[in-house]
Amino acid sequence: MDETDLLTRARAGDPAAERALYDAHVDRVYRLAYRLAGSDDLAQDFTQETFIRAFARLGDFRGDSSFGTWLHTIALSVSMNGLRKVKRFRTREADLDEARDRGWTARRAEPDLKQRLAAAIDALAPGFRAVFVMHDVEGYTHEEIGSALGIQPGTSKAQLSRARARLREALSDFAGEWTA
Amino acid sequence: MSDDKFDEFLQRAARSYHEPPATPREEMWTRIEHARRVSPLAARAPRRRWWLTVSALAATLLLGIAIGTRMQRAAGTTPGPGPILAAGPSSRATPSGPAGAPAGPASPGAAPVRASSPNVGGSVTFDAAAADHLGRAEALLTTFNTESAHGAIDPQIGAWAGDLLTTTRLLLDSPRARDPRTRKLLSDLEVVLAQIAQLKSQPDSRSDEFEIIEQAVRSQNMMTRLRDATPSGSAALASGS
Repeated sequence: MDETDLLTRARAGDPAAERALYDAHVDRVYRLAYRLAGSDDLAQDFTQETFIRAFARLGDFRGDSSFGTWLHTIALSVSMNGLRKVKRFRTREADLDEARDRGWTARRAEPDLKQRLAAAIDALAPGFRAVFVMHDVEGYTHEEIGSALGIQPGTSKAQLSRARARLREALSDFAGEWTA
Repeated sequence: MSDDKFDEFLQRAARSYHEPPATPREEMWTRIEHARRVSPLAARAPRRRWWLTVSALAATLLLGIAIGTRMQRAAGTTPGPGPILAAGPSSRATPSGPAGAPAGPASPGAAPVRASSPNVGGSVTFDAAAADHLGRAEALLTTFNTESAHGAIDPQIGAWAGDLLTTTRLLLDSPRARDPRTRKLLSDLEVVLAQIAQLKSQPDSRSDEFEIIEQAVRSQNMMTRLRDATPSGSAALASGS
């Protein structure tokens, strides 16, 4: 059965169709939520919220894009809003300057490349981070990213390029790793 | 150094960034089903969101009219102010922290709600104050969830919960709190907040205590109910494109 039939049945309240849609998309949604949140609890929370909202709003889905793209729009919105709320509390606690400079000035204290890379990705602005994680980490195309974030594919490319430039700057100490 | 080489290196290295475990499909599906069963509001979310926006606008308008009327009266006769039902503590319990962080004057929760307000205005203002408060509670529980997953919570969270607890009680005691669903949510929230507030006096709280609280939040679908009761700013969700 194709996705259009599943959607029709799910709109009519067929639980088996809802479950089939969930099964088809949950892995990608959960993976993306986890990559963005870095925590299983938050990723589960964001994924559940995404599907609850999607099923509740299935009547609004017009089919202009694929169901997967629409679902990712919700997932990104839920994840980024959720992370903003968590960050709002955390940044008040942390030394703001230290948080901003993570991955940039704390180089000497974090000699490990993996840690430095993770810290530098965390320090990217939310929009850049989402584009970078979706493209370079999870392998989404710029078209998919553009649809999910509501931006042009060209903007997605430009943001990816700027994100990479910032990461290159943050990891300049490790230049030998990739020039070798 | 070559850009291409760096990009290749980056893509290779970034694969280990927040590497996800296997998807807990069944666990999440069970909770999704449960949440949808106990929260039929989820099925009407778009219209509800629209009404909440209108309610918030109406509340602001009525508040403005009430303030204007009061100022006019103050210029002529002297009105007797009614008892304050809710708002003071709410204005202090910002999502960014518990105490000492005063909210801006435009914060919806900061405006006092007086018992002498007109019936309709008071009810709408109560709804706005309750929605604001529940939004703050959602922020607290999200933060608690994250912190407890790491085995230790910041003592400030206890103080923050204590602050929200006061507002919860004030809202529950308000004669405007008539909606049974809101009352039930506030009552359940009160218990959870009380548990979290208790932790502040026990700096070395154990993980099983966190687990009990998390269990209570999950079993009562607290997060979903709070989100249901809180307007969200995401325009993308309504588009359906």
